[in-house]
Amino acid sequence: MSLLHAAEIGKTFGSLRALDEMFIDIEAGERVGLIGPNGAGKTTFFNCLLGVLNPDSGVIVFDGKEVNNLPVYKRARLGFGRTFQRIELFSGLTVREHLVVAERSRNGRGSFLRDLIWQGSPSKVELAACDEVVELLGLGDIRHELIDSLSLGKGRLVEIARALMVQPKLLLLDEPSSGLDVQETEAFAEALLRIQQERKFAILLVEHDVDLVSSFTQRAYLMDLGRPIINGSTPEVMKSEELRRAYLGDGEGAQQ
Amino acid sequence: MLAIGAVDEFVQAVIQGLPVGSVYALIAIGFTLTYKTSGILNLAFGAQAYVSAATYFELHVRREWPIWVSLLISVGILAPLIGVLLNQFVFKNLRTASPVARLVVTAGLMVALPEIFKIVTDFERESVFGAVGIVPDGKIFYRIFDRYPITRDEIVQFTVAILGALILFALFRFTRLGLHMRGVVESPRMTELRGIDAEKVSSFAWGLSSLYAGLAGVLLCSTSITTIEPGSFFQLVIVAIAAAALGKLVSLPLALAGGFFLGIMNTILPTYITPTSIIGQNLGPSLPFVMLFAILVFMPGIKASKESRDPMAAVDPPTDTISIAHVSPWASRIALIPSLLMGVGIFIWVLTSADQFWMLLFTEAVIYSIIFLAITVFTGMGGQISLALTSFGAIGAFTVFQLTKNFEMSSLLAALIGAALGAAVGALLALPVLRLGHIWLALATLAFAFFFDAVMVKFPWVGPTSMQTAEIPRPTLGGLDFGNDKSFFLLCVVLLIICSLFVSALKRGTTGYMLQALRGSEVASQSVGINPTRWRIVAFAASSGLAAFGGALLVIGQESVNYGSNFAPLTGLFWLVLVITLASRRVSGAIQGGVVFRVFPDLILIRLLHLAPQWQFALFGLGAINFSKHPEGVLEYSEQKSVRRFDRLISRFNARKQASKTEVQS
Repeated sequence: MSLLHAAEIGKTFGSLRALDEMFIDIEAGERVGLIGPNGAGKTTFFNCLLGVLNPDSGVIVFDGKEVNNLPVYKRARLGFGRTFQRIELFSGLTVREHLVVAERSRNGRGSFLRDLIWQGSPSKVELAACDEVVELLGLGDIRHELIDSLSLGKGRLVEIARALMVQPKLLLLDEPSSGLDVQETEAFAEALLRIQQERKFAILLVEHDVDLVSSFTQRAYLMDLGRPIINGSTPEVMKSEELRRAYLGDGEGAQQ
Repeated sequence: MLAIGAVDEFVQAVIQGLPVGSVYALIAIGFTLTYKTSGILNLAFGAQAYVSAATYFELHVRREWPIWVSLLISVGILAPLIGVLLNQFVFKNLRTASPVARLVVTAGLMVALPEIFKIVTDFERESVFGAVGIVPDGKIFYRIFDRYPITRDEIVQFTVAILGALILFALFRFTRLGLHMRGVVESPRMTELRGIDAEKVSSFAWGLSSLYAGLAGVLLCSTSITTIEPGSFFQLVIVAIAAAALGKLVSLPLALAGGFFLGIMNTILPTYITPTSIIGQNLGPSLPFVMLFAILVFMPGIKASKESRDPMAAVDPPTDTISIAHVSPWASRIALIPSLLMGVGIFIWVLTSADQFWMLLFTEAVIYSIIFLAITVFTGMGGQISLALTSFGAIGAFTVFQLTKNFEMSSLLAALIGAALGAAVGALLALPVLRLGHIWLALATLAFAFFFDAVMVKFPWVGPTSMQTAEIPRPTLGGLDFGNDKSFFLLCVVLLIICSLFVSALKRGTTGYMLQALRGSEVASQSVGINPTRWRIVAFAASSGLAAFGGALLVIGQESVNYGSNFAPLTGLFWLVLVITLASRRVSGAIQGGVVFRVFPDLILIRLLHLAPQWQFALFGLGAINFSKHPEGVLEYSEQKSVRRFDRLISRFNARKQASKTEVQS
């Protein structure tokens, strides 16, 4: 049984068939890429997996449990972690406080009543757990900086750190290279690979940057116009005729 | 026979509703127009309508100037002038401000504008009954199909309003300016890239919609509004918002249709409700609020249309983040010392040398501080706006009233039960309204507050039926009798300290973290497993409970419910704007708010400067306008300046220590 199994996912916006019979299978601990040209439906599919959008049809099973109708936050508690294409951070909190929020949400120990009896501040154990992840991502120097003052590259690392606090079984990355230059992207990929190998979670990388996918993932899915085209080992997919056709057209004029 | 009767009644209602509906439609399209061109939901339209109507009344009725001159001055010149000036000096600078800031500023204007007008013109020195329309002999009536009566005023009202709407549509459709306006509506930035002065177009839109607001104000005076006072015109703006909400604030034709629809509903609905029931007697005036609430809660798609977005908004500078720098905790502690000292000083003075007048005033200041902590929780921490604080204050007050009267319960215990009840009602209200975005949430709570005010209060199981029976005893606790003003003051101070500690604990605990996260990014919060509904309900319930507790204490202090003077819905708006302009994000802001609200007017304005009470509102409005510059609140802004000064001193001191250490080492 794979960690994530999604099959026959369909989604229609008005008259636009955004997803049609899409599927994906991800095993525990593997790195999978989802590629396709702009407008292929990658983000729609991604949002369906996470529960941001509800697919019209199909089934999503995660870790042996059907998650179709669960809201985003419940899926997160089951082990979905994610990052955002346009980074989404908590303005007004420091780097470490981002992790405190996530840690609290994971351990479920905070409540309104505990706050009232002054038991709401983060405990030593919680702070230590946060510091561990802070160090893991090399954010130690800036742990007390307010998030609003950080660069985009650092912001992406904070997003990863925050997602890691929930101890995800599957981390979904939405175009992590957007806005980063080549060097920053490489540094980002390196850090991520190191952590993934240490913590053994699975990764689904959604990208249109083919280079990042080919260097980072083991298997890849290619989709276009809302449909799966091919899937297989990353080198196979990268060499395929289908990939060339999806990105460059079939030579008989431009694609729509 | 019966069927014909029903049809008859329906046609009659439609004919009666259409003229009023056309005025609603007029103001609704103006409302939509300014919202779309500048992103501002102008609550002050009602105040602008009031100013025009009052001017017209003054000129035409009191000074007996000819109709057309009065109309030209009040509607043709004054109304657009106000709109253009407001845009120039206030709204233009708000384009990139946060939703809270925009709402606070227009709410401030809404309160201040009529008061400034009264100060300038000395308008309400005598009664303002007997408003008239814009044609002579307006009360003469005709019969349509020889059957349905309609007055001359109504015909004129309908015709003028329809003409106004048609002119706007023609302007949009056939003129260059209209084309530009349509462009600005889609995207001001894009339009500017085409070499069009978006500011000028926006200014024109403000002038035009303000003219419509003024026209609507004058037109309504001939039929539905007989007393020219700001409150009646505020209802007008609520109907307009409801109508505009039917068009999701983006569609002018739908806003127009919405206006007609609400006008007709306004006349039809009361015919289906038993007129002698409490709902039937009081629903009339609150109908706009009920409809607004229903539209916001039940209309699909409102949630999705959170803010008007300019596709080119990215070229605008980002919304001001509240300026917070990380400073050493010592610096913020030192900066608190002056206000602490002052607090202790006032406390000692009140205990030792204040007479009864000042003692009661400061007791109320302390109680209002507790109420204002509700704003610290919901707005300061949660970043959202509730305009129903007065309703919750009243819930606390009524609970105390009912329990002490019917069960002879200790009023202190009753106040605690009132707080719990307030929190429970808050949680219930939260379920339908909290999924709405910022502005919609504020409007829904406002609608609730007015509905509560117009209908709920009248039920005998809710409020007192008359002033005489509204008495409330002071509590006793053990051997202590708080009938004594001094001991009651002490009790309130202790309760304030306890409530402040609770709120600080929330701020530092999980609740504070979760709310801050939700405020920063809802999607990201959900992605780490935070249930947004849960924490928003917690914040709303806690805030409502605090307001209810404060409301209960307030009426215990006054030993009577005094609903009207304590808990009128617009007062809640005043509270909110006051606390937000001072400092809503910290506990001390609520306390300062309490003192400013209760002591400042009596001490500074009346005793020292001998000003009319209206000045309070005028100054308050100006303060709200200033708010857009310092979104963290003026008090917090000035305090932060001194905090930074201390922080620099401390770091300089540390650096020197470091330097001498390294010297020693080398």
